[in-house]
Amino acid sequence: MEVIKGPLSILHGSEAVGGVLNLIPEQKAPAGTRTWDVGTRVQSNTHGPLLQVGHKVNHGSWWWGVRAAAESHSDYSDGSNVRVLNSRFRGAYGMANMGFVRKRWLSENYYSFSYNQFGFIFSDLSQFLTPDERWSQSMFGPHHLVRLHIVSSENTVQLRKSTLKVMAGGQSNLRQEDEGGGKLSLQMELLSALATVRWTKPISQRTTLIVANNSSLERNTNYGFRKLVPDAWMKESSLSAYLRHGLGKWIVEYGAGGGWRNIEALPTPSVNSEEKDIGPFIQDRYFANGMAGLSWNPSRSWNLKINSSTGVRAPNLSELSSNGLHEGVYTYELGDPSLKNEQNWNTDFTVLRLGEQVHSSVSVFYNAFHNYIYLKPTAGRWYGFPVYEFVQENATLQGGEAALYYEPTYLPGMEIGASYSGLVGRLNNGDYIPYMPAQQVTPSVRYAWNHPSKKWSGSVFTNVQIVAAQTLTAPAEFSTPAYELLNAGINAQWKAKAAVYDFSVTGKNLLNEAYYDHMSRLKTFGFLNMGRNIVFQLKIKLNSAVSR
Amino acid sequence: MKTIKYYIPMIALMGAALTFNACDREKDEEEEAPELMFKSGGSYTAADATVSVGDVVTIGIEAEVHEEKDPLKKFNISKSVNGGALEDVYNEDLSSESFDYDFTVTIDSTQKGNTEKYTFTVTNRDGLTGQKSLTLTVN
Repeated sequence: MEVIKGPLSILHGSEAVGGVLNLIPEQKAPAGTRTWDVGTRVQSNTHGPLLQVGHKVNHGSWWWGVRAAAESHSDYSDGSNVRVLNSRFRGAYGMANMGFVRKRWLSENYYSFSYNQFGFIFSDLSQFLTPDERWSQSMFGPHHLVRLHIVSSENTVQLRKSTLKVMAGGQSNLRQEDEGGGKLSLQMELLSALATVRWTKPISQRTTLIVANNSSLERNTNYGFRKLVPDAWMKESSLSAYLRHGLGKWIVEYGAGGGWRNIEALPTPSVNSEEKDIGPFIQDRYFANGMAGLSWNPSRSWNLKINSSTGVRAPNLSELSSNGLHEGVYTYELGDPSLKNEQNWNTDFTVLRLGEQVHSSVSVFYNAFHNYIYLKPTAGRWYGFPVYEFVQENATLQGGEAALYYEPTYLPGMEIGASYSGLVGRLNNGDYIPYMPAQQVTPSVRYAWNHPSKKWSGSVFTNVQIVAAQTLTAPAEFSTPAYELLNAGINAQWKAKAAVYDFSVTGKNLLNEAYYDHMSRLKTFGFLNMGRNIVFQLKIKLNSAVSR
Repeated sequence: MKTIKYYIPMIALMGAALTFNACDREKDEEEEAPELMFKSGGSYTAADATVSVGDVVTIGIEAEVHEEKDPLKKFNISKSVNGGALEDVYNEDLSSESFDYDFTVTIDSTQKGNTEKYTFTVTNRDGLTGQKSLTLTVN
């Protein structure tokens, strides 16, 4: 997974306000090889095994692969050795990919499937759910079921003096709620079709132009008797242009784009029917974005970079049209169809130094939101339940990261260092934004070795996550105390003639600290995060040659 | 044929995924809301009534859910005077499949001439409500 930070709506459309996660599909086998792999992983805290098997073949001009996996976990224990009832989960996964290269056309195609069941934890669960056997993995209590199908095709065509990339994909996301006993209450499916066309043209040796179009069509449909958001159509299309100039030690990049988003909330019984305050609606929203960046490499060791970019996020269906009791927390939530788009402007500055032995980086950012959407308690009551409404207020998020690492040349493979991250989110009315992570410092030591025969290699690490108390909280949000988590692990790899064996043991929260992660939804119900967890993992990969 | 060999797996992948979504899903029947009734007989007032200053009015309610897994979560009494906004009079958190409550109001001189509408509401875990109202006219 690749994390790209900062608003990137110009390249990736609306909703890319804080960053983008790039899920990199499985790499193909080396050309002319066939690979089998089998792996297992067991977690001590949840007594949870995972088993996976994969097969990949690469004939050179075409290749394919398949993978299947399954896992199942019992309820976890927190740092006080208390069982968190119904925190169990399980899943089954499948993936297939096929690709080929033909003259100027490279095509990579993927399909993935997942089916997950997650125990559902809410405030009054213990009042009606009797605990079963401690290590039971049965989904007898209330739980979510999520079934996901994703298909995608990425096609790169080399034109005479430019490159055209055409990506198309579809996704089915079916979410169901089993209230216990097999009765499904919520059944909601989001069907999505997405396409991206990107044309890259080197204008000169130093200048590259990228023009891109992103489009999507989505349909939300309710099939169950319990509904949270209405049936709806959502359409979006955006166009952007981006230029990158390399000028010696300087890189300058800038771009602009705009787009359109249409949301149509369809008549849905019990959600937006006549007796409700919010009815069906149809909206067109337009947005524009821009970005500019400057990077300077004064020497091979140094890099300084400043970026400024904007992002936009249209309110989602829940924010626009909620009108009911939120299960689990029992607050009545009221949406607002007149909410405007969130628009943000981010500036970040990074200094990076890669020395012979010492590497360091410092990065600071300032992110200003216009019309930030959040859930605000009101003085109103709905038949005794507190009423919250989705409102908008300008807000700022600012913070930074720093890292310092030492790799002594007298001890190759050793790395000693520490990293820091912190941010503050605040509304213009003075309130803090909820669910902002606390400041964290992580000192670490890592040592990696390679045997001269190149048959053996491995690594060992330890680090301590030192997390500060989070007291900059939103109204009605709980603050969380400081905590430290000791983590460590060891990995060993052995390369035989036609096989590679990889074994690792990793321990998280080795001192069994009882703590609340401020980002955890469960802290509201008084549930601590996971206690000590030791993970054992073994992977075996077998290689053989194939004809090309 | 070589060309077709490349395309067939890709088409098969797309077709397989789309097939999963070609089937219609039947929509489930609606869940039943909790039931709420006024107690009747004896000294209970179970319908709209005209009362006088000094009267003691007792309104009894009984409520129950249709499914064990959706217990009652809240009982609320609200009042609207002379057509005005609803105001909370009483709230109680619940966690049961049934509930009963007797609400007593003594009419005093400040209520003379009022039309007071009392609304009794129970809400279950799914947010479904059972509700009944009753109006007292004070002469």
